[in-house]
Amino acid sequence: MLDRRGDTRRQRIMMMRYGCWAMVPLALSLMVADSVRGTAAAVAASPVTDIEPTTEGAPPAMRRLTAQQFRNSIAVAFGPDIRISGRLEPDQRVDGLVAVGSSRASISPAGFGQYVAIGQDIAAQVTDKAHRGALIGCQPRDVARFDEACARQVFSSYGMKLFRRPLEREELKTVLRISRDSTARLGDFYGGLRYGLATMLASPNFLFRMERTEPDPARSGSQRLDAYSKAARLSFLLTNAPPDSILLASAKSGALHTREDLNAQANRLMASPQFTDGVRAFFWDLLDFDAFAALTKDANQFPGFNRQVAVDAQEQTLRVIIDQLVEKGGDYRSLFTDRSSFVSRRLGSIYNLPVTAQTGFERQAFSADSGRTGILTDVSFLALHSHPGRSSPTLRGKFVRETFLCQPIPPPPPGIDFSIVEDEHNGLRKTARDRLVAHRTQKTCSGCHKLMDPIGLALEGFDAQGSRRLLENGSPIDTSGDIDGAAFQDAAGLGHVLAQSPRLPSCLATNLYRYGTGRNPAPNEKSWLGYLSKAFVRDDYKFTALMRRIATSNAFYHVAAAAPARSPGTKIAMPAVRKGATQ
Amino acid sequence: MNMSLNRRAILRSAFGVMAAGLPLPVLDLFLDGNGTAFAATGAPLPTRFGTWFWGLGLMPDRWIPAQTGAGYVMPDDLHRLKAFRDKITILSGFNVPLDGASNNPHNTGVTAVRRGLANVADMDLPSFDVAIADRIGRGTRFASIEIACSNDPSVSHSGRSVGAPNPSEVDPVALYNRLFGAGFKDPNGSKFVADTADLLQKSSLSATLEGQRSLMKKIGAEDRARLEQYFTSVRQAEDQLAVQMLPPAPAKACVVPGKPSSREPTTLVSDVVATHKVMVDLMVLGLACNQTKVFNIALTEASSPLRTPDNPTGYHQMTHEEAVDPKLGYQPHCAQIADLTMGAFNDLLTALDGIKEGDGTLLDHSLLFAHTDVSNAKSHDVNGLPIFLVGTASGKVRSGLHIDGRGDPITRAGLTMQQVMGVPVGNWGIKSLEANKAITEILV
Repeated sequence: MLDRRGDTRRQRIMMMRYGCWAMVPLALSLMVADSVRGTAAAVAASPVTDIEPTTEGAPPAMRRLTAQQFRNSIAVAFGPDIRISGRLEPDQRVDGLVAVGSSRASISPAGFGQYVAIGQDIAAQVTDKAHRGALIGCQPRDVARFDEACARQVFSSYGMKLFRRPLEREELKTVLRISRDSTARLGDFYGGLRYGLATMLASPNFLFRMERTEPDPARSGSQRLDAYSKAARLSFLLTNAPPDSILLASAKSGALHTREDLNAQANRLMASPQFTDGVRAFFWDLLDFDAFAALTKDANQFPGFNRQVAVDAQEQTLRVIIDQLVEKGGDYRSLFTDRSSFVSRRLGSIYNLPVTAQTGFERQAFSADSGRTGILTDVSFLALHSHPGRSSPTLRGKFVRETFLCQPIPPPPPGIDFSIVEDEHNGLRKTARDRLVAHRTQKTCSGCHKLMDPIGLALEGFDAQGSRRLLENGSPIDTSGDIDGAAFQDAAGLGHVLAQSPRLPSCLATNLYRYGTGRNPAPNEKSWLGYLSKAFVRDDYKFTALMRRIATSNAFYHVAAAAPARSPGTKIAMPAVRKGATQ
Repeated sequence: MNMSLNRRAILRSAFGVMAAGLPLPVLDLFLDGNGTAFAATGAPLPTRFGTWFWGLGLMPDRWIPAQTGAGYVMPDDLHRLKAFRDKITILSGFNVPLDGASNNPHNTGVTAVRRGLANVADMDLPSFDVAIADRIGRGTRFASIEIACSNDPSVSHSGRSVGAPNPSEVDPVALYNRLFGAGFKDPNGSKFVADTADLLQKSSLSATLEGQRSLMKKIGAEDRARLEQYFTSVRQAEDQLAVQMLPPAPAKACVVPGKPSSREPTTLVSDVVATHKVMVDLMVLGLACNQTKVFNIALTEASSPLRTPDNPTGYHQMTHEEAVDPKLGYQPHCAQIADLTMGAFNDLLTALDGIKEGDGTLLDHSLLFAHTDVSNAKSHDVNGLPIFLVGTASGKVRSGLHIDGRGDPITRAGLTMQQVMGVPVGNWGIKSLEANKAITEILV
């Protein structure tokens, strides 16, 4: 198991290097300066130019398909009719992103067994009587015998789609042999095809995105991604799916290596319906939505919170994101300041809002006195970063710092005792704020808690499932606070302060780049990230402009000529840290 | 000698070719006079190995017996296990030296116990159950089965590398399907039919392996280890398919259970313990039916979210927040959940002991290693975290002792488990966690 968020080796080293938790502010500022996640902010003062800084990139990647990418790959290759039944290897989250975890993940024996079973089932569907007419583009001369020409056509076509490149001669020979032998044993051409397809579906060339390089004609002695690998990077970034046939054709002809064609392909994909899938996938990853799978709430306190509510809560936020950032081509900061949203009937009961639509979502705007503004007051955020029966200013504040401002918070120190400050029955400390103030007077805790708690306390007007409340244990809730000196009175004010933070755009730019490359930025990419974040601001914080800029940049496709040996231990991430030992 | 090879030889000599439709009645006459081995082959009844993990330790001082050696008085926190006292060895006083590494709460203890290192940044090591599965698990359909009573399959402490954890089954229906669904060959079935699909699948897997060499050349050094892990998984699948292509060994204790119903995941301790019992009952029959010899169960993640209906705060939070009752001297609510947790462990022991097999029970033919992440959850202390060993591994291990490790590295436990299960390893663990001496008190 890998850590779920932020708890990086770098942090632990920093903590060791800089000593105790009481010194975290110092460690943190050094970390931020040092951290690639904070690089963009650190260079935010540099002027913007139109010239993209030169980068060397990092070695080519080998990324395991995420569960969603596996599903999308099957849909792109065989159409939406083909069911996927069974469990895929669980995604692994490293440094806050499943995308980064995909570059560390391998396949366990049990997981491989599942891929084999799922692949067999898919291959059986593709070749069954109901689908073969549509999906197998040729007919054998005799259904009981092997027809090499037809099989060759089938495997060449699906090989291209599954491996995201043409099959090599040996690879084609192997699947033809499997198919021929299986046909002979079964007396059925389609049965033979089935085993050939199943072989490809269990192949590392399908399950991993294996990038390939070739000599770069523009840079003597350097390597570049080959056109197919470039196509895959582009396509997975923009659509979270493998390249479609048009993009593959562009890779085949080599046109994709030209600036014009790269721009045209990016524009085409961004105009396609699949682009929303790509944007959703990025925010699903960024917002930690995989954690919903294990989220439960105290049924006594929150009888209305069930699995379906959890599904709707994610959908609500993703709809807002698509509406504002893609449909309206809007400003990323509006996600923290806008009150328009989408609500389902099930969510209506949590938000205490009448919803007319019997099924699905309807557009609604939260009123000014609802206390809600932006995605931080969505159930998806409030409920996910709470305990089953209690809100958590610390978990909420931690997530905002780490995810939207790229300021990693170290894990709590080992020898902590909260019993004095956490006793809810202590008549003097009725609210979370009262308890946390006591907390922050403890020297070892204060360094981090003062970074997290003011943000989380602004959201205390919402309980563990995200419903509005004005009192806690009979006491009024004070939602005022500040971030790094900028004061606010409530959740709406928090959203506006966040929207003004120079870290907000640079952090998103860095995260989107990490998401696209599946790794933390290399030291040589510092100027590039500074440039990217400046450009994002200049582009009026338009998310689509940021996406396009990455997709059509040189930096995104650069690969380091040789793979330097990793420093010891960088492959290792800690076993999962569940939501922290904090309030 | 390897049992499957023996059976293979016998069947080949009897029928010339691999037989389809071979009737295999399972009778006592397959066992030798002592009931410890298959009479036909001389191969011993299989010995199983399992781990059982629970989060957040136990109340300090309430689980350590006052006496060492045999005949200890069962401590308060373990009263639910009383019936099994003579089969349980309690390890106390084994430490986790950190060598200057920070104690990563709820992780360091598990990593030290399972992977033999305190700081996972040092090296990527397999969990020791994988080494045992490699040794004993190859002749069964599954090298190991992982289970977690959580809705998160990544709750698993077993894996060849951190990048490839063995995912847990989290739903009883999925566990049933894995063990007894498609591909299950009833050892007591009247007919064995070799499955053409298995044969074809095997050549498909072999084809995958053929590409290994050329693929390895094309990738960078740093990804090679991950690809090697993938190919290891392919080879393991191939081995297991080979097992499927032979008639199953007789298994008198094997009973195919009915299909369970799905359970809605919650964090209520009563629900989780009930789900655990359903899963354990299925898994025990999976063992009896020779589907696997190795299992890894995690009751919950280390930062256990368990709670009681009257308390919305999860167990993990409670360990940090609940005051120590001055009269009792411990945290009463936490003690209550720890007690129910041990009840779940009792369910596992009862299930294993309920399967009669040869001269004893499945529990006797097992070695069970139960551990947690901390000794004192309140302070995240990892020194002296509790470990229980249960079963005799078919007579290879003495049970019913309390052993005080007197500060020795906790890796002595993992080393001993590996040696008992036949892994050729003389020392295990790194830095101060390197152990080179087994816990000899338990060796017969």
